[in-house]
Amino acid sequence: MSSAEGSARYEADPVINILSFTLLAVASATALRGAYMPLIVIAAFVLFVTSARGISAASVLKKSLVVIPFALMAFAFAPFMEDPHGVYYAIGPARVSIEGAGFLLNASARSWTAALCLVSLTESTPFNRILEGLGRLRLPPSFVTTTAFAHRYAFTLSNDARRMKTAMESRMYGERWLWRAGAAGVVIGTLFLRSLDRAERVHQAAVSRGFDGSFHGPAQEKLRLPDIMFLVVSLTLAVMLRLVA
Amino acid sequence: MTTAVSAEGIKYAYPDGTLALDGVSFDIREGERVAFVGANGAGKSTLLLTLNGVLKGEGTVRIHGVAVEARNMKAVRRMVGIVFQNPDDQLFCPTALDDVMFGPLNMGLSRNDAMAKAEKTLADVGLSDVGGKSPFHLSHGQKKRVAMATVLSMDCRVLALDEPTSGLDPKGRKEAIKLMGGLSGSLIVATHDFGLVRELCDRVIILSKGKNVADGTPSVILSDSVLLAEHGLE
Repeated sequence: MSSAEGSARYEADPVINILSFTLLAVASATALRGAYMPLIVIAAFVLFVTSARGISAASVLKKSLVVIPFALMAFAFAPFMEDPHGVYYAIGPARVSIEGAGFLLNASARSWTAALCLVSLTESTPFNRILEGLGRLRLPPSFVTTTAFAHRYAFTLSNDARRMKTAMESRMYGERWLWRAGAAGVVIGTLFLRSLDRAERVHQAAVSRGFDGSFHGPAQEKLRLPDIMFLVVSLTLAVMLRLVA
Repeated sequence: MTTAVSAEGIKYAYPDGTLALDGVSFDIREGERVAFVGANGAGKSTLLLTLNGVLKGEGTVRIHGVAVEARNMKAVRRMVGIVFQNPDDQLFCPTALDDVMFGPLNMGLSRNDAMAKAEKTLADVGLSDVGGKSPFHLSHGQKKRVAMATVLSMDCRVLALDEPTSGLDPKGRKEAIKLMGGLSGSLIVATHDFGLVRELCDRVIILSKGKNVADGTPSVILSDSVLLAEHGLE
């Protein structure tokens, strides 16, 4: 559940949120090397916006850090590659390339800033509003509806899986891992069959309420001044990031 | 009083060959409240699904004189609202409000009208504060009431409810019965809850192995312990 779900705080237009945060995320991820200051400005701006909307900046920061291990893993070898300028530091028996270390730092900073933007999007916009925004951005209604169904039933399915796991474990007495793996396979198979069964019933429920295969688009909303300002500032920052090295 | 539902010789077999309904016939008058009771697998849920054409077997079903067949399906579904036993099957939209709007939108209402209708219906079932929530985050009792709101918002003339009190705590059950008691139109309830039948229904029909085997007032049918035992109800 996002922080925004079910709250009464200011809820920005989802289209503006999607456009602005995605724009900032893409600009951050593709920032020029050495553009640390613009990245810091973007991060500060995003944290300011989320705080102004009543969302804990600490929570957003904490969640955005999830990307750091992945960035480090992806670029871990960069400091140990050949340096085109031949500048190295010796750390014990290893030679660390200055260029490579800079690349690692830059890639991590870009990844983290992009993650911060996307976490801010999901924290400040309930999932149903994101879907609504995607609908208003003219994504195919079938895609938006299918995503909504998948999101809705992912929770129900995971609950089913948890109950089945509990039921399975309550009848286990320290069996070997191979036996456990077999039992888990049965659980997954059963879950799949249950999902099919549920899909059938959901379809029946939709059909009985007049669903004929056509999807209804979301309502159009009037843009408000804070939303327009948010988009303009985001756009300016994104352009600035591309220009400043 | 006009006939709301007229069913003649309904037969339905599932693809695996299980005969769920075997020649069920009955008439329900407008405004009548009828309970279908029967052991598990007696065909109650299947019967409800045949009433608005979700399942189509042999025999004929008419809703306020309109035959349940492909060319009349829109009119039929406007008249018959079905509430499924498991609210997780009924509530498939991202928010409760979206779910309650789903039927009215399919009936051709504009988005604004559908939203106004949905908000009013949620208020009628005492859940005006849950519209923006995901159904997943509601309690079972709240889900049941939202599920009922999804068809109440369609102003159906016939409401078919499958086990409306199953899984509810005593308070939730009481609220559900009170809510159903205030509904207008014809009410068809498939249930095992005899207390609900006694409190709410004018008539009870016993289904057994896909056939209707008894039909009468709750006071007569539910006091016949031999009949109930014979059909796995006691």
